[in-house]
Amino acid sequence: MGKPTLVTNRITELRTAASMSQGELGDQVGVTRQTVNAIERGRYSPSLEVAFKIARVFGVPLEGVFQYPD
Amino acid sequence: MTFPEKSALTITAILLAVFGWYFWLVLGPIAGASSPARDFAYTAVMGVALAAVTVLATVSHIILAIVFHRQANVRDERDRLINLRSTRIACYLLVTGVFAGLGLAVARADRFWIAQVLVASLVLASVVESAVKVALYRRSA
Repeated sequence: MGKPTLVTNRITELRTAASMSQGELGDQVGVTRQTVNAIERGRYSPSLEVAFKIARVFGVPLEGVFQYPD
Repeated sequence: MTFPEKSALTITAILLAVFGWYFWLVLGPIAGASSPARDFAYTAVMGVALAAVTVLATVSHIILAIVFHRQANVRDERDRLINLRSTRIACYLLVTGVFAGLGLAVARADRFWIAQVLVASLVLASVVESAVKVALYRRSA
């Protein structure tokens, strides 16, 4: 949340490719549209459970969505 | 804007309006009155203020829930985390106010002032809780 996170993600890219809105993704993983927006912009790091759910929606492994620098 | 954010803004506005009126009356004309009349007056004003906050908060949240019915029952992990953080900060203020009230009681201060310190700490803690909540939503929006 307030602290900047080093975790980056490809949610916007994957969501656009799937023609999915933030609200639709939020409905599928059980979070609000605002939370999806905060995750996409790197303002909020989701729980492991939500991260797995997001990866599952796009049918990719966790590291296909979220990356952490070495 | 999420529903908890709208709720926090509404509560802040209600608290500032009602307790602004309360402290304007109590610390102004009522504080200058003599003891029995002053105690009766501030207790009556406090009762009216608490009733007003309860009614206004209930009515405003019913209206919010009707207007934004799709958001009203939706809470996720980010909402819960923001709620926990804002409540924790408000607790520090509340505890500080309670200790200030205890200090006044130990110093045998007039109970009128002990009551005002306790009311002020309750109101301040609630206002800060809502303000922190809104700030956290804005920062992570």
